[in-house]
Amino acid sequence: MHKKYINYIVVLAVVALLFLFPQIIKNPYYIRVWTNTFYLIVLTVSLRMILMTGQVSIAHYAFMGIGAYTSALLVTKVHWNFWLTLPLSGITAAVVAIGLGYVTLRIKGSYFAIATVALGEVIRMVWVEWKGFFGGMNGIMGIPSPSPIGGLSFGSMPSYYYFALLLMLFALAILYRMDNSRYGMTFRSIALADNLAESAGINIMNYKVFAFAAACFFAGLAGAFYSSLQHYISPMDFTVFESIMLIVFLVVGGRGNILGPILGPAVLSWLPVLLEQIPGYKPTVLPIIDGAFLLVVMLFMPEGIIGIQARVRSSINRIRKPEKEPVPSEELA
Amino acid sequence: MGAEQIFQCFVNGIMSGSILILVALGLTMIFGIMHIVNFAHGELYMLGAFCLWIFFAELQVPYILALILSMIIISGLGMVIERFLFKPFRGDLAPSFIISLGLVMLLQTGTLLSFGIEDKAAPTPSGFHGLIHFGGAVLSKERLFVILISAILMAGVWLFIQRTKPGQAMRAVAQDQDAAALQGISIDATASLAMGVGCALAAAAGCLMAPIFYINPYMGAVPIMKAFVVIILGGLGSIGGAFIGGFIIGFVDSFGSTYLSAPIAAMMTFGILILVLIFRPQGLFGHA
Repeated sequence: MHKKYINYIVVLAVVALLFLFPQIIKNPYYIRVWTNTFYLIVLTVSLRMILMTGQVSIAHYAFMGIGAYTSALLVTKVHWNFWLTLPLSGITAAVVAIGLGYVTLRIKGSYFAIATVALGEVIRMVWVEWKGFFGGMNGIMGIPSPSPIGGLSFGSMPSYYYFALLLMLFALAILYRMDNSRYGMTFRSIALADNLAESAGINIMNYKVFAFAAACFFAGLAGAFYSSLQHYISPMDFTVFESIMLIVFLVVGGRGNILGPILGPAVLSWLPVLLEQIPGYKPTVLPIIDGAFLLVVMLFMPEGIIGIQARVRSSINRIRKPEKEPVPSEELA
Repeated sequence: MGAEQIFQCFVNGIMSGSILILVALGLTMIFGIMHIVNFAHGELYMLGAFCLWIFFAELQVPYILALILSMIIISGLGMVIERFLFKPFRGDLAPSFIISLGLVMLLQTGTLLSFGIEDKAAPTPSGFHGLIHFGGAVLSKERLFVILISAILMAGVWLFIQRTKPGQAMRAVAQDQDAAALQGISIDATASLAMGVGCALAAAAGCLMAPIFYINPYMGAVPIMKAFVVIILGGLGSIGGAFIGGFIIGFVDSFGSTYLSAPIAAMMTFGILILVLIFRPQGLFGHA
């Protein structure tokens, strides 16, 4: 059978299993872990879109916060329907990203990364300082559940599970298409050699802003979902530390293709669940394990979890045909 | 009010500026020589404060001795980190940045687990209690002590970099690594030395702030952010720029939080950073 069809079947089987999961395993804790994993995947996969243009953003959670605040304010203050605010949150985050992107994306490399740290903090301080509108450090409380839609009434955990799953599939479908389109190619060319790309007639600024805004659109959607899931948001939910965790997910999963930012959040969200089985385990240890994971991955497998497959294949090939050069690994994204 | 308050703000600005300079000098040296953005520098500052707490508050070692011990220990730790974690990624910005993020998590949580979440307090060094009345302004001796010690350290670093052979080697490596290597300068030794000196300064800053603020595992987060602003303002890798940038941010901080509010001051600091990056990305004193 053609390799492409095998891939399709595997993807369909995984999606089918995920749809059946809450029916088979009724443990609300596990359903909750999956729900969190899904929106983290949306964030990580969209963050990779920015990384494809060669820029690292440490403000991704701040843009998620913009989405969360947009939805929460519209739902609590003017009583809009959540489903109307959902696309609006994404659009608001994207519009802010376009405005800020044209200014900050002129900066390259580590300077941009540090500038986004500052950007994220400034956005957060707007929420903290503008108490009347954004509620200051207390945030916004009593955000209602979304109104029932298509047979899902949002009283129980499984309904959020399906919402998150559909949101993730939507984001993955679009971002996967973008990855394999002219846009994806253009983004990579900018990361590899921006002046060469420019001399080939690519308006690198527009493409960088486009990638940034598209990624922030999905971060905004995830934010709206988060606000309805938690029923409460505050500036402390969208700190630099959370954004850094997304980079951890991305690095541990691998940046080479879209599978990496899916595997990274999945593995690191389920790791604590496994660790809890160990007697005497304290959740406070978790950042040490995450940090150690990060160091080990950077030092010994810089391509992340997805690099393992290529490495195993190349060593098998080497055993089979020792005279042949090892298969080159994935190019960087 | 009026003139006295302005004077007080000025002294506070000098103090927080000096602390920022001590942190930023290490950061900018590490960047200049190894091209590594060390996010974990704030954690070395934090560990420096914890070392002081152990020696000075718990073991009753005299303050100055505790300060020196802490600087030596943290500089050793920094060299070990450099040798095993940063060396493989020297000159490679993104991976070394991620490595330092991993270090932040390890060091913060490791300290949290070893010392607990409660804030620790270090007593004021003896002989520096109380206030000085200067004109109409009231200054605490403790803060003047901080300014004094950091002035000594800053002068020491300046002389070290300008006048000694290893300091000249550091400047040479920062300017052109290959040319420096051709002159027989060991890049490895220079990188190790830069990390050691930088970490010792961060530890000193932590020790100086320890009696004034509380000591906890997360105390490094704010100074490192501000130190980043300082070195970008001054120009990444520029020693002189770190001095000027440190005082600018120190004054913005002290005047801003007195006359406006602390979050507004922080916002101004980050606003300055973004403006500098847009209009003069190489910093005020950096080279393009």
